[in-house]
Amino acid sequence: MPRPILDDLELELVQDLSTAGDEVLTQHAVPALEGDFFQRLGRRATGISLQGVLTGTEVRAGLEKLREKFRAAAPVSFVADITTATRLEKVLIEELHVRELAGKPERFEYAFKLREFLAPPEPEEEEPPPIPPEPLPETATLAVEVIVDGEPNFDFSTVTVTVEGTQSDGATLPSRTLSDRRNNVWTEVDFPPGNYTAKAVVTEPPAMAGSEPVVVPAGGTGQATITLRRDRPVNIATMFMVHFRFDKAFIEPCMREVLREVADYAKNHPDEKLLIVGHTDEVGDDLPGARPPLYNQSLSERRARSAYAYLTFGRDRGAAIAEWDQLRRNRTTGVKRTISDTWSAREYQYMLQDLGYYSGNVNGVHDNTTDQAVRAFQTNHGLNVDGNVGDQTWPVLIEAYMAQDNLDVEEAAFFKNAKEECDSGILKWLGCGEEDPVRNTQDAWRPNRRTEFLFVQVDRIPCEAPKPDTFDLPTPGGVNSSWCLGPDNPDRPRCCFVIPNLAPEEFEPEEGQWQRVPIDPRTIPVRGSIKFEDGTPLANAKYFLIAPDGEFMDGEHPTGADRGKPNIVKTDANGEFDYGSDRLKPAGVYTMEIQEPVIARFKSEPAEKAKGNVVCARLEGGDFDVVLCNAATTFDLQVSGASQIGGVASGVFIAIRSLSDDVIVTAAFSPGTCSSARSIVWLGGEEVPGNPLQRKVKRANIGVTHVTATLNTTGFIKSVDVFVVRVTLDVDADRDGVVEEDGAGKNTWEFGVGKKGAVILCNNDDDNSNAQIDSESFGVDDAGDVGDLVPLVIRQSGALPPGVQLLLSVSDRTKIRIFNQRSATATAIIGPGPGFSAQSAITNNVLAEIELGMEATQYANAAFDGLIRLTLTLQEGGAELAKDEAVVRVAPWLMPSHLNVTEELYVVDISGFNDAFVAAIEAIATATGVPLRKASGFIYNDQWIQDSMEVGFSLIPGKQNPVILNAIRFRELEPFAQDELLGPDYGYVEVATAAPFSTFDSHGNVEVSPPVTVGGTEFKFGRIYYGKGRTSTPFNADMKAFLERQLIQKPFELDTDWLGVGHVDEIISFIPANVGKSFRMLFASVDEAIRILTDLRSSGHGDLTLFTGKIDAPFHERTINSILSDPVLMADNTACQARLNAVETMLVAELGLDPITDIIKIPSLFVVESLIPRLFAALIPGMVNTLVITRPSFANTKLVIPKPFGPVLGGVDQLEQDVLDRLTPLGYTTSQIHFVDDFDTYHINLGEVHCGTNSKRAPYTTPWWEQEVA
Amino acid sequence: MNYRNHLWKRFAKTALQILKLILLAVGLFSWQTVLGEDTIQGKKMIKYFYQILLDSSGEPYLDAEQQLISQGDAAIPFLRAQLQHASPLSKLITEVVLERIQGNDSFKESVTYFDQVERRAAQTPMGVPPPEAVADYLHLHFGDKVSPLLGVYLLKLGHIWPAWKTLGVILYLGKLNSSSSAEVLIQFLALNTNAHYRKIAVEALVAVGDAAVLNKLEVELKEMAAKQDGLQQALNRIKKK
Repeated sequence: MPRPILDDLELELVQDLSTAGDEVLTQHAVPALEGDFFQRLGRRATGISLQGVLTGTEVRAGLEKLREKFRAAAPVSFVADITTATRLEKVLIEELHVRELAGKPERFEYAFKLREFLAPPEPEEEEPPPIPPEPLPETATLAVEVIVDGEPNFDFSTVTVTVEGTQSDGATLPSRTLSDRRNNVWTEVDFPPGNYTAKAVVTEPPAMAGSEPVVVPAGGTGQATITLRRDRPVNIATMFMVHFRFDKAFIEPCMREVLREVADYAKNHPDEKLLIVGHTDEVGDDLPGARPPLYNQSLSERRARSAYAYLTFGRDRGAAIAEWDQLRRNRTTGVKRTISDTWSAREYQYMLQDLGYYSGNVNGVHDNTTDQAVRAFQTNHGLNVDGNVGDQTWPVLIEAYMAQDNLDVEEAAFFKNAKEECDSGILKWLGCGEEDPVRNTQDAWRPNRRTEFLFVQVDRIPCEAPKPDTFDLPTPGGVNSSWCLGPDNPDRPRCCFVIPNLAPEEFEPEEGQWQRVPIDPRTIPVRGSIKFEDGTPLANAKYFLIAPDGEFMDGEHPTGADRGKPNIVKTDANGEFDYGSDRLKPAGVYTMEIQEPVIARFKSEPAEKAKGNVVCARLEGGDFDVVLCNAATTFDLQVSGASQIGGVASGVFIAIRSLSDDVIVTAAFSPGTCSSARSIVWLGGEEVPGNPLQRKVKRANIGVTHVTATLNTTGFIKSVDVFVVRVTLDVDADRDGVVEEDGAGKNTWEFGVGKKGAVILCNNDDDNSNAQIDSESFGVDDAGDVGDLVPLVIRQSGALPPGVQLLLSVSDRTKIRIFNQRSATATAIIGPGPGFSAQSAITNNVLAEIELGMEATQYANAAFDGLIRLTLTLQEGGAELAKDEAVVRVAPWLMPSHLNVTEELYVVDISGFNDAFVAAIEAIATATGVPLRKASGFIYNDQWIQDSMEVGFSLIPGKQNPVILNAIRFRELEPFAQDELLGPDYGYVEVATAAPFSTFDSHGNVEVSPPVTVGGTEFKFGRIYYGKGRTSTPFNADMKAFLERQLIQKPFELDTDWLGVGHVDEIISFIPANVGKSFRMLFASVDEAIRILTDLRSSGHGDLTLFTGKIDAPFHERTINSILSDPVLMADNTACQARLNAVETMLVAELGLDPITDIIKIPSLFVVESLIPRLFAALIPGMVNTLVITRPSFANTKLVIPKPFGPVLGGVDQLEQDVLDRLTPLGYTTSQIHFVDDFDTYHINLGEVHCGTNSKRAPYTTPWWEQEVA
Repeated sequence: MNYRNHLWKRFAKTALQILKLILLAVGLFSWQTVLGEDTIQGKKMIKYFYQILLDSSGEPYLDAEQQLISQGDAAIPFLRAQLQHASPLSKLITEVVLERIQGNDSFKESVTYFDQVERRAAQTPMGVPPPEAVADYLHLHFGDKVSPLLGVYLLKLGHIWPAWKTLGVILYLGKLNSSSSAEVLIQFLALNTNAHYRKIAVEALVAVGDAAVLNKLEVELKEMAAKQDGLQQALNRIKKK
């Protein structure tokens, strides 16, 4: 391949060459038709990448040439085979990377990215624009173009363009901001002809600025192009400005807004340094014509010092106060530097008005109103009250004035007063005297009387500044101990660091001199109004208005003794003023002093901001609308944080101690009227810092506080009584048995250790044995019943005002009963039943603590989540004033497992039928010391006592009751529990339902596991399980909801519908174990039975019989061979084993069991009865259906197992032996395992030992409320 | 407490049944006296009990059925005559009574089974027979032979039967072909308001559902809509009064 030639350089050793170029197609949808069409827009410029190595002596020169063309973006020729395909002629170099290889002279590695050069199309011929009409001769057009060097895509919205200068008619055109921008050109039509300077400023970092002169000819267009450059640093000084009254250094209240902005800016721009520079006008030198003008120099420095002190008050309070206290003093006559800047009545009127003590006009006259304000201030600050602002009062007044803003600009924000070996800390301030006026007149224009705050991104000022005149004034106001920034030569220029405002045409800025740019360069029209709140104008009202640049909008007296005073003008008949759109002024803080006896505020400010005749506001384009108010003669007291009682004029309020905020009493003036904040004299209550129109009553002060307010201008008095009471509704929220006062978390309820929420007991026992469940009676049975009532305490301190009462209410009175005390003589005040409601007035509680008693009347159920909200309301009439709340949960009904100690046994004694069975149970019970209660079969002819009830319990702190959950089972045993067992501390509950009962509703079908941990979740009380029933007869939905709503033992269902009876206790039981885990699960196993029988048959014992001597089919005597050869029986049992396997899988998952170690397989066979086809019953007496008599000592624990009547070999029942062999490894001895004959009495009727017995067990002592519940 | 109420209800129910038997005996005596005097009057009484049979349910139905059965052959001509112009349900009721008069063994056995299984279940923890087992037993032993009797009984006695029996018969009907049970199940759904029974009946009807059932359902729904429309019109007009 021939070598490519780029320009004059032949590229050898090309290692990589690739091209990229394609056609440009645009896809267009075709309206109303399917499909698109493509428009060919030509091809893109082809790109080429080249990499390789160049060698040779001439290569360096060639590369240099290429680099120049690369920099100039000039097209270069390119020749290569590739051009044939891509039609290249010339290329532009997009990227050029060349590296001389180390150790190999004249050998270069290169990488070029080339782009085909496509010559730009010739501009199309366009119709010339229409010739514009001749402009009016007196108007002209100004166009200013701004270019940012090297950045054609610069965002010109960040540029501010202003124009100022002299109009052709000689008038001065103040700075005007141009707003009509198209891209980078600002245009303004109807511009007055004249000679101007156009300025362009970018304030966003990196800041840039530039200016150009422009002449706007009459009837023509003046054009200027300003070029801004980033790469040539421009020392832009971002400028804030505070202006002053003639011959004063006092910072007036409105100027404080500027100082706040300065402090904010300093905080937000740590990369910039601040220089505070004071200025004066050109009037007032003590020696006219003398140089230097010492008087003005000193005055300018004082203005800077005053500002510095205010800005640093927050970090050096003492120094700031001392500085102002020096500045305000009258100096010795003849000391030029301290001159006549003596602060007097005008200054302290400003300060007192700003602090809210003085609402008269600021006029410099210490009249009665001023005197009253001074005295009020002195009173409030513990000063000697003499009405004189002297050495005692000034420092305190200065401190109060400065403390309102408490500004603290850090030292780091200032320049260093240091140079070479000299270091004197920071440069606090400088004065320029009259050197740098903004108005070149000899009149005393206020704009010259100013302090500038210059923020610059440099570390030092650009010139040597001479030592200030007032440098050695008394400390701490002095600059520092030494001056490092220049000579002590007052003849040197003071303002050398900035480009002068009025620089002569021949002036050339010295290097580094700062160009000042206002923080907000915008200009706005100025207009506004002075009106009362109702819109009535203050027509012809006298005022003067000061713009942010210090200019009086209407000028000031230029000559005479009163020079420096502003011209007073008037509003029009509508109370309005408008300076016109051609008199634009800077955006910023405007100051208005109304020369009328008014109290005014800016319209958008709240009423309390109306302090006097001075109004300040930052204007950024809106109107300066002032709202007036009349001097108040009366006021009202408004109270927040407390409720008024006794009607709107009562003056009586009540507040609750438990709330956090204090009660605030506010003096409120009628709309349209106002008074100074300090005109109110308070008695009672406490001061509210920063708000003299308010008083507070602390909630900690239980009792009555009388607060009186007097308007000192009229003597009008108003007072209120604030009752602070503490009323709490208290429960045992932390479940420790003690009712804490206002305990945390009492109004919520959470499960878990350390969580909060009180518990109440469902009082369903019968303590006086009157055959009535206690919660169904309206009284307390006896002293024993008191223990079932959970305390609810109402605590009150502080007397209630007349007409206020306490009302206790509950969220659902059908679920709870509340007694008026916890005693045997208590009476119900809230609860179910006629004559009761969900609320009750609490009357016997004056300044006391009363204890009420609570009992639940229902457990959680399908319609009740178990939570009851209690509310104690403080109310007057029907109006709620305050309330306190608590939430209680009804202690759930819980089931003990077979691991809980057996306390009592139950069996139905049907004389002549099951005597032997009962006797056997009784013998075992007696041996273990467990009482056996025998239900009379004559009365309750129903042997299945397991199915009729479940003895559970309920637990609250310090109390537990066993509670029977009666089954939904309408058979003869139904009344047994209530008639025979209900009694003192033995409760009873049943679940209401409308559904018909089925076998699945028997409680042999509701069992519970021992405590288990499943997937990390601990179930300290085990889990309830039940057979889910069949489609036609599902497990009762109301019972299911009841069990689920107890929340603790999270029930789950099992598939037992293949069993005729369908009870879980037919195939599952839990027993204690003394080896390894504390329990094992007994589980029916067909496989185990088949294995035993098969083994016996295999060993030649197939003729051994089961159920020997029994004759009732299908439970009649059969040989092993007969059973194993019965295909139907075997098929049925295979099916049963499959169902058992599914149940076992479910149990393992839901209870977290180990299928190998936790489950004991018990041999079982099942059979179908002819009348009940396709459903199974135990053929071998179900040995899983065991009565577990659990004792505190494992050795005394007994298992009562149905005798299986299995094949007997060598006198040993082989099925019994199999079970024994499985249980003895768990620690059981044969004496603990009893095989009881239930064949003819229970087994053939499809039940076994467990079905025929029941038990009461010791409850868990673990607090159920500590279990986490998802 | 509930149990005592339950006993009182049972006592009251038994007393009421005794009183009814006494009144029935008195009525029979009077009727037989009249019949002996005038057979035309006897035919009127057959017609009278037949009408009760069609219109009533529960205990009155059982009484009327017993009265007609006790008439033996005397009632057969009248009943057969009714088959010509009876509605499907009336025809079914009539056929069942005719079968019972003529001694249908399956009918007797099915009723006997109910008594047997109820007694057996009462001995066990079940308390009452499982409806699924009842349905299986009926299906295994009788096929669809007892569906007319049990279908009629379901409609006439389903609301007073114990739940296991009602549910058992519904499930039984659900195991048959549609011609044997669909009409009954549709009528049961149209008349019975017990939500659980209705749920099971829907399942049964869906199980036997075929094209014929679909047609029957559509006809039934149209009739119900027509009835509803009339009721709605009456309601609207009363509101406007």
